[in-house]
Amino acid sequence: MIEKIIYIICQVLLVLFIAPFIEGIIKKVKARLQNRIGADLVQPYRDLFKYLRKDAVLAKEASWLTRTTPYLVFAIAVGSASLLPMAALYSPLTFTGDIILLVYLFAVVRFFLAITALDSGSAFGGMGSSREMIMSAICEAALLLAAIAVLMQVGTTNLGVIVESLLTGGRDLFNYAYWLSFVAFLLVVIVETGRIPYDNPDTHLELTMIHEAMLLEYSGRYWGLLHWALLVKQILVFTLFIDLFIPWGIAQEFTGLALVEGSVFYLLKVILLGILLAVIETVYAKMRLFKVPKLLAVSMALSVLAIVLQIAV
Amino acid sequence: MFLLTHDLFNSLFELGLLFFILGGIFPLLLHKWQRFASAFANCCSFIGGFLMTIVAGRLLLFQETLNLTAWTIMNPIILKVHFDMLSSFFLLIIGSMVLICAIYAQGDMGSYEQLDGRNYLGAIMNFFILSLIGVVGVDTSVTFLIFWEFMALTSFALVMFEHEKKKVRSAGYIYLTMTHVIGVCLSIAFLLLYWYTGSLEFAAYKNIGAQVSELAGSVIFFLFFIGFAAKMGLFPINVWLPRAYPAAPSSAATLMASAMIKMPVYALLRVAFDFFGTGPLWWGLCLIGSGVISMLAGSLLGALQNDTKRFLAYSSVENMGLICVGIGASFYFNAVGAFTLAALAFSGTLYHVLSHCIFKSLLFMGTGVMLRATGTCNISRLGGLIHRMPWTAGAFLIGGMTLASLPPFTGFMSEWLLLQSMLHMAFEPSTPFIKIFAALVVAAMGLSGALAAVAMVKHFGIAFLGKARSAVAAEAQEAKGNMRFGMILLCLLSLILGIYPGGAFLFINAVTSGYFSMVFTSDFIVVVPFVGAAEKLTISTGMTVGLIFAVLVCTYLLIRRLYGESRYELEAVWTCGGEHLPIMEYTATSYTQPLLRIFKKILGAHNKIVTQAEYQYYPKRMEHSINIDARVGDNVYKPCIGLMVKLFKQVKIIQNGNLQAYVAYMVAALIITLLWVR
Repeated sequence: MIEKIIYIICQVLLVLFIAPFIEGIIKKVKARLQNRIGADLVQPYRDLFKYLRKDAVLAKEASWLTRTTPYLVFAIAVGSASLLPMAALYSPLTFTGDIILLVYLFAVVRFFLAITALDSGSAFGGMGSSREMIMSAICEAALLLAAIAVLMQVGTTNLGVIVESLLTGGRDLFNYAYWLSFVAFLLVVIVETGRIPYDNPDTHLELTMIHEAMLLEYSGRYWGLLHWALLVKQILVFTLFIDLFIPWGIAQEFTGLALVEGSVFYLLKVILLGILLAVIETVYAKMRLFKVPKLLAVSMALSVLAIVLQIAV
Repeated sequence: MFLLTHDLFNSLFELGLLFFILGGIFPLLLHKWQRFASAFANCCSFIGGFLMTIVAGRLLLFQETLNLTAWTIMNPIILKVHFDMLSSFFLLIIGSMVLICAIYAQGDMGSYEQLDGRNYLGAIMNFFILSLIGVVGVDTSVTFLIFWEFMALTSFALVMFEHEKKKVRSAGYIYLTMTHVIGVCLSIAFLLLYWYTGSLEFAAYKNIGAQVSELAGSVIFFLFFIGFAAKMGLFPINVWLPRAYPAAPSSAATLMASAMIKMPVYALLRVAFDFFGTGPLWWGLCLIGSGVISMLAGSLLGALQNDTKRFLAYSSVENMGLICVGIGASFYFNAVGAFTLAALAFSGTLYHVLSHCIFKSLLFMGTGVMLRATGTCNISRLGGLIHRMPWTAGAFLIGGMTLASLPPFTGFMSEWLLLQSMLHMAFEPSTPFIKIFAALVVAAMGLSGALAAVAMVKHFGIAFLGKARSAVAAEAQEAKGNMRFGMILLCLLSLILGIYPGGAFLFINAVTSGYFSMVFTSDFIVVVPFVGAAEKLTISTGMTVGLIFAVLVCTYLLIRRLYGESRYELEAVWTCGGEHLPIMEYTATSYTQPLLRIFKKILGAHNKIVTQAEYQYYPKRMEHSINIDARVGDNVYKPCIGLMVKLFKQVKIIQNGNLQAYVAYMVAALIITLLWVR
């Protein structure tokens, strides 16, 4: 029992402190692909601790919501980190929640970000909030469909059991359904993490911006916490993808060696996924706002195809 | 202990009825002392609701039934009540909602201070409550129809309370027309049942599905379904709902939206699981299909509304759709013999009935406070209310999170149960068509849930946050103690049922175990007894929330310890050097404009821009309107109404308003009757 509690705390702390590093890697890869040198890998840490130290400036109209949301979002992001299997198959807390709870916890994060974007009364916040909520509504349908395409082979929504049966099920790499749902979910991951071609995470000065516009009015420690929480959320979305599609290498027994091995594999997978997203970001241009639903429709169509293939086979 | 006998509870029930009757009749006589009369009426509702809650709680916890015979109207029509588990569950909902609404109504009375006839509002409310109890309590078809119509009439009177407004009158008449359509469907269905069984008793209709042919069964079932769907406001027969709710006074709308709209749900459950028990599989699929359409339409149209009460009405359309999906899923699983899943869907449906009651009445109360403080529900004229009405804002936020089915509130638990049952429809072996159908339904549930969140962010964010957009919003006053208390009670209920599902399952299991030999053990953790891979599926929002709360506190303390007290300055929002004005804020219409654009083809919406100017490029005045009712309103209802008017013109030949002609008809009728009985 004690070692499980220690393990879960380690898992949460690992995610918490690895999240800025992964962002650093993505930024570095992007910079290299664009023939720039780029900031070094620890820059996101420096940024975070700088933000946390600074005083904040808030809008006159801002209510207690603006001051509470960063803490709340941070707590939800960090708390959800304990629900997902990462290095080991059974996260000790999987009995408290399943994939649906996780999706809805992300929805809570989005709900509060969208509400506080309207708190200052600036037009930018409203614009971002409106776009984010509406696009994510369509994304939610795509996410559920893509998840069902995988869950259908398993028959449950419990994450530990899903990963276990995917591992023992012996996945056929030339299964078309697998690749279709892989691409479908990857599109959802891009949307959920707010990356090109859906949204541009590097700027909030573009008229097509979505996610960053919501956070424009934050500063100081509030922005630091929020930024950190969103980096953690990005890792969690990655982990969800890894659990559903590339679960290999995860520790199946609860022994020290297996756990170390599992952690190494996990980190490797997260970094690879980050590099993949960086490459996609470099290759593609930002999409026009009203083309985004079409991107999600593509994802849904792929998921439906995957489901059809699975039923047919 | 002898005081707690069964008889005592019978008399408590009678006492409760007596209070409602007193509260209905007495205030009618007290036209002179309106303030006292309405206070008396509310007091009676409060006590009555309290007694009903106790009685229903007792019936459910001890799994007892309550039988009372009051009056033999004419043989075999007997006015008697029979509360089994299902009706007790709905009695519990009526009782608790009445209890809370009465507290709120007492505080809300002030907003109709200038109106004459406040005593009637309280009186009609009591009669209305009485009719609700009648609908769930009686167990013969004729008395059911009587109470059903009584409920329709009293709620019509409530909708028409401010009848001097033209909009209210039109809403009232549409509502009245709809109740007639429902009445026709239900009467025919009950007549058919009488024809087949020769009895008026509900007990005689048990397992009617086995006695009649599938065709006859389908006709009866779908007549019932159409009637109840119209009352539930399922799309596309939802036209009355978004008109009636905004027209009714806040306290009445609260009770209508929370308790009255559950009556067709009760009746549908009664028909589906008591009368028919089981039936062809496609009935369930039809129910799910119509539920999904209504969910999507309700959430999409709801998100586009700028009037909060209208949005809440559309949200009812959505939630009734979800409940319909639950009933359909339960029916489907029952038909294929998957009883665990049938019980899961059934419990999920009942859970959602509870959740919907809580958050819908909470939001209607919040909107009522908003309306009272500012005189409008149109959020484009509000803004910044959170600073002046902190309690209402908090309650509205919690209600909104429940509506958007976000954890840790009760909306999430019920949505989770329903999502699980639909997911398992896709997981379990069945035909490919059903599997894909179920997967698409899950996606539709996700979409409509997220659209509800969009609408909620819009209504909370625009109305309560930012800068005040009008003078009324800038001078709004917080609600009185009573109203606040009612809202806080509901917030607590929402939180408790969200993190401690065992509390809800205590009552739900009593109902479920009557139809399926299956209960769910639940305290903080819900355990669903699936088989196979899903065996280990458990959920505990309570623990997750506890964990998140712990992290929250730790983070706060740690940050404080490391970096000291939070330091911030307040500055005006940067608007490129200009002054930040309310018109610079994002508006309600612009908030959902992307939605309108994305779903333009489906909505069939069209913009109309009228420019008044000498030259096109120098407009003096521009009017912009969007019609989002084009698909159903213009393409379905208008032709129908046109056809009806044409038909009625034909009837006019007979009914020409000529007195002599009518006398002639009477004479002719008399002669024919005489010849007939000769």
